[in-house]
Amino acid sequence: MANSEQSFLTLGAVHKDEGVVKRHFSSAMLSSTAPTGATFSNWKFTDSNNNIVTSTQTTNSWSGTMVTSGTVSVQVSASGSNSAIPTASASVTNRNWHTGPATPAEVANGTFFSLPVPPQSTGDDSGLGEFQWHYVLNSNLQYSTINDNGPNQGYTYWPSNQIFSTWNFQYEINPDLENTGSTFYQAQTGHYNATTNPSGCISGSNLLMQTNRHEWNSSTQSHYAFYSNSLNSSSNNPGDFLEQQFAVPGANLNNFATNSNSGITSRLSNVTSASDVQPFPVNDDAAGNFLGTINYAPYNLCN
Amino acid sequence: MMRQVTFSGPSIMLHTICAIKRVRLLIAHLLLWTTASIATMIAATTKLDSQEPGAPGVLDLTAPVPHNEQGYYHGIPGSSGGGGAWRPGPGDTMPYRLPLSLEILRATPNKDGNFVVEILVRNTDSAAFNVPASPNLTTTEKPGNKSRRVFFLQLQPLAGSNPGIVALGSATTAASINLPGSFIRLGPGKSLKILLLASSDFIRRSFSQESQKLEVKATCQEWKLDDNRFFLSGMSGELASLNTIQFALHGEQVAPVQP
Repeated sequence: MANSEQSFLTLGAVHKDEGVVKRHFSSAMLSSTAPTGATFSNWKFTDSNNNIVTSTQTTNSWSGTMVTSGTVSVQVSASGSNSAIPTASASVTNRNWHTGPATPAEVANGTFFSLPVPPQSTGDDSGLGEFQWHYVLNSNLQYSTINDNGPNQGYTYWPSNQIFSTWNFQYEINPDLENTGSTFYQAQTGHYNATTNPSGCISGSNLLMQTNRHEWNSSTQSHYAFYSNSLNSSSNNPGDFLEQQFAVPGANLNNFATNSNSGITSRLSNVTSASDVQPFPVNDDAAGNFLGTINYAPYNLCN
Repeated sequence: MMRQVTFSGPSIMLHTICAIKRVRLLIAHLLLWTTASIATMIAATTKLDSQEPGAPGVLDLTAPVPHNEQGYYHGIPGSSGGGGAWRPGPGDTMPYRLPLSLEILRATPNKDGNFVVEILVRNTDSAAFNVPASPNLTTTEKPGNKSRRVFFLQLQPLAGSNPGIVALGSATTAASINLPGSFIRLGPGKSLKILLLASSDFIRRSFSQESQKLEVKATCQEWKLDDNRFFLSGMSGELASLNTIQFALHGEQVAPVQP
């Protein structure tokens, strides 16, 4: 009967509590091909690590919220035939908890950092720009333990995603660089030529464009690119990570919460490290080509 | 015990002095008794045991923690962070470094077939360090308690093992200045031996198909909880042990290779 056993058991993907964020659903149900009068016993769920959940119910279905995939089996007995133990795989699908990057937003000089005006060659970004990204994670996230006598009875999971009360990426551009009439801006002559005038200066417009490129306006060579690429990677995304966390029945739930929190903070820390890497300088282009010297006060560097 | 304090009617000065002294002694005795009671209670909870003079104390964290002692909060604390020019200010989560070193001493099988791993925690600083020592997180984390700190120890398989298993064993302790005895004071250069339980089942499942040896490190980390909310006012970096311990797989049996 081994081959035909499979036909007894099908798994229905029945969403429970539509509209409520759940990690899953799934209902294990026997098909109508079970013989009339069949009885059902020994419902069993086994996850990929051989953790087992059993049920004593004798109905032809076993349903409940599921947070991890596994195998479901049931013993089917019918008069006049041997009992069978059909099995079926139960798969869960992820909720979309991906943590998206914040939209880059320019803020006034001094909002989070004071760029020197007129510009001076200070800091990593030549005194012309600065960025920060900042988050504040709320503390109202609580885990939930399944108690519906279903296949994942006793498993603990996160029923909702984390909420950040602050989640931003901000940048500042030196006001003198954005002011075409400033002495600094006017002093950027734009006479650089790699061959004929290699000690010449970058132009004001180019310097402004490349400073923006350096901070945020490049998909490859900006702090924002490094930040967003890191955050969007599956290995660093806190939401993707949290969505998949669950604890098996009997686990220490403080450890579960701690590991979840550590997973989030370590991922955000990775994002910090990535965003702090220096893109090509503000007087290079996105390909790393030098575009000219920056002419700081007393403005006597340009040939 | 206070019933033993008696004041008779006519008393001479000497008698009074003696009585006062006796009261003081009794109060002192009572204080000592109270302190000892609390210490005993905590020590009983944490099984802190100084085996012999000069030897490091032992904090045994191998016993399972009852469900109702696993934490007051059933969730993740708030925190803050960022990058670039962002720096933590008042009310933010302040990163810090634990002034400790970890050394795995040995692993021995217990009667259940799991392993008791001995970890030596040493204070590497010139100032004393207070190790949170109460496994009853529910009591220590309770709002109203001040300077709450939570200390985590884990046994982690190194790279190359089954990525689904994060920890082979772990324990969490907590403390608050409102709960005398919930800390264990480690003087400069002093050590504490902590016993952790490692699951043989997790160890077995952590072996990759290619390797018959599993390398394991110990790690620790600490949180400081804000006094007024479930928010991290501080979070230490994760500290890894100076050494590792290996486990070998012989058939289905797991055995430690002592460091």
